[in-house]
Amino acid sequence: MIDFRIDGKSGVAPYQQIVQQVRQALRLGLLREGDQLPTVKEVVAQVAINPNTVLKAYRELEHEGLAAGRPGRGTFITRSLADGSLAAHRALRTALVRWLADARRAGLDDDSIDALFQTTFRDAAGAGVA
Amino acid sequence: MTAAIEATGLGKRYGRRRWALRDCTLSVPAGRVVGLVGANGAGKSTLLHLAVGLLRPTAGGIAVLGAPPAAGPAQLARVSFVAQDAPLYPGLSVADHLRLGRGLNPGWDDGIATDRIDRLGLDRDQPAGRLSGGQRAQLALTLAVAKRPELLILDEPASSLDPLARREFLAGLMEAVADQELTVVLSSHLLGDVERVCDHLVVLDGGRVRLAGDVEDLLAAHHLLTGPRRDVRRLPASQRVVQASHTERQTTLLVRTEEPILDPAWTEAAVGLEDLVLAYMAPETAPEIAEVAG
Amino acid sequence: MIWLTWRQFRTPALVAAAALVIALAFMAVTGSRLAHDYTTLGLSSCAAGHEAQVGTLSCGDLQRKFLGYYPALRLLGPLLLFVPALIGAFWGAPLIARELEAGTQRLAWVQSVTRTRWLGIKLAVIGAVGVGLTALLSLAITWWSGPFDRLNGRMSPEAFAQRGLVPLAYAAFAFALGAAVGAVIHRTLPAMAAALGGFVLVRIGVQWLRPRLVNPLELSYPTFTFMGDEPPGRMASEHGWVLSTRTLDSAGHVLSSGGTVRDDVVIRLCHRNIADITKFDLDACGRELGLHNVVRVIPPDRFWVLQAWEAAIFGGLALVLVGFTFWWVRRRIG
Repeated sequence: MIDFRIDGKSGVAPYQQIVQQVRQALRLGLLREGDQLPTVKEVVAQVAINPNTVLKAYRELEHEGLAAGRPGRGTFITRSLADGSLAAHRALRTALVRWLADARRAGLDDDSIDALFQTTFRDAAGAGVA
Repeated sequence: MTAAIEATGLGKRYGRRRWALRDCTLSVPAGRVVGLVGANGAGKSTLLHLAVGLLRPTAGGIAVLGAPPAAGPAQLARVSFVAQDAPLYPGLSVADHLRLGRGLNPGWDDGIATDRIDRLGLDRDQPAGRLSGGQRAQLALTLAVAKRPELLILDEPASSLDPLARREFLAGLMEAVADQELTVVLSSHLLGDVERVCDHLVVLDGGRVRLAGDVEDLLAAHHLLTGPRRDVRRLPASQRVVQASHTERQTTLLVRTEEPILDPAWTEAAVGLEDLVLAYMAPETAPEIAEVAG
Repeated sequence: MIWLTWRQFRTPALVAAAALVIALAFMAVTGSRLAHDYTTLGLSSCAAGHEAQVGTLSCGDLQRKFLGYYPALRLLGPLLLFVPALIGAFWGAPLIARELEAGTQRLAWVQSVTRTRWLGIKLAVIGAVGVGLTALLSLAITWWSGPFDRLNGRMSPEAFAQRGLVPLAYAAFAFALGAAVGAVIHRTLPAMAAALGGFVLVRIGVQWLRPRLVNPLELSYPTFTFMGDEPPGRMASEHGWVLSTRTLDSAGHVLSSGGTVRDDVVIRLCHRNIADITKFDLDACGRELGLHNVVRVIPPDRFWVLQAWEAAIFGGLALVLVGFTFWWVRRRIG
């Protein structure tokens, strides 16, 4: 089961946040085809947002073909987004942990690490690598 | 669809001088969670008390679910109210309060009530006077919800609660909305909460309605524009300026329009709910800007 | 709604019931002793107007002896005088005032019962209990006071207020007054004070009115009588409510207002010498002057007429107040 978190200050509409979090979970393999999404009641009990927001998010997911509602039973995932790269995730994660350790040894604090990553990520994206 | 609350020129005066609410005309649609927003003393409590029949209008009229407020037992059964600070009988226990609800409301669903009480972990024998603020608010909400109303009105239900209790209260409220076909009108001066749970907004200030409409529509219709300094009277008529501020070289405008902004000189930014509400509560906003929408 | 009324009223009701039980028990024990002593002393014939048959004591002495037996018991007598006032202050005033003071009407009046029904049930249930308990207490005190009533009648202000219908009418009125005052003042303590004060004022006012509702008897008899002479109408004056006693001479001048006149005053009027006066001279002088007592009294046969009047007045006031309370709660609160 997925736990949603809504950030009221992120500037992203709550229903979008839900959609994004579902997509994220699918990518990471936390949600798989056939899994049931929490009911509207369960979501709002946890997150205190308007039920219509949840409905809107689920409709959006249906529209994208990621989920489908079965009347009387709930909303279920119909497709997975995991792109077979899950195996690569572990190796990448290990490399990342090592890189972070290196960065810390070099004396970088959290903000510097984050800035370094962001600028490199953007530059690399601009260069067409990412 | 009948409006949940329909007010026409509604006014309430205390004593000889003080109009707490004046010329209030609004139509609150059913099936929404409506946020009634305004500073303390803006008239929110007065409006809600008028809607449930605890106050009588000095001027104008109000209809709730198509009937006068508190017109009879049937009307009273369709509307629930949780007043500010969740009034309860301090000497009566939690179970006594449930008994009260059961005895005084023909539409009472004991299953809903006991389910909520159990999930909240409230001790049934505890006197209501010894519950915490959050627990009292939850008990009051349970009483209001288990009666299975069509309309639930709450007056600043979470304002005096700590953030955790507030979040839990709103979660409980949203659960009830998800469960039952319920229209909710809740007043608050905490815009963060309003933003989370409300899909329709009414802004009150100085006893008058300044803005009303579905949140989505309102946010889409308002634009924050920055650009080189310019005379606002030169703008197209379809763009209504809500708020303007100028520096020597720059003009910042909050504009309301249904049409897209085409002028390339403007940089457009999205308006947050808080900024929108504050703009309509500012004293320099002319009253004629406000209109009833939705 | 009845359950809620009872639940909110539970403590005061139980306190009152406990107090009533104690009072009843006390009266049961002492009342039978009183009745016993009354018979043993042979006071029944005194009450019938004959002189005492027992020993050498006169009726007057026997009465004093009887009353002297249990001086503390006389305190029980006025008990019922306070009960209606307490009902008005402690049951009537907080009824609406406490709800408004605590703001709990914002809970009570948004349930599925109208204000009218809410108020109606509360007034009816608590009012019925108040009047009922008062009735019980009144019956008990009437029985307990039997011996005293046989000797002194029940027309005196204290006795009258505790017999028959009027205690119930007082209780109903006090309760209605308390509720009305509580609705208007909507703060419990000031409402209690106002209810108490209002009740006392009205009681005093109607008690002033009471003797003016019927024509009093005027009895006249010679001031000095031989022992054994019966003044006419003695029963009426002893068992009735004596409003005034004056001593007049044959010309109608008032010599005193207490029913007794000082010997030296009489002697001087007869122009006699004080030094060598005897009782017979006193009596002769009195007859010479035509001294007679004029007593204005409301005779005991007026008891039920006055009860009816007063019950009607207080009952009528209670109804008016109840109507006012309904109107106020429905139309004027909010």
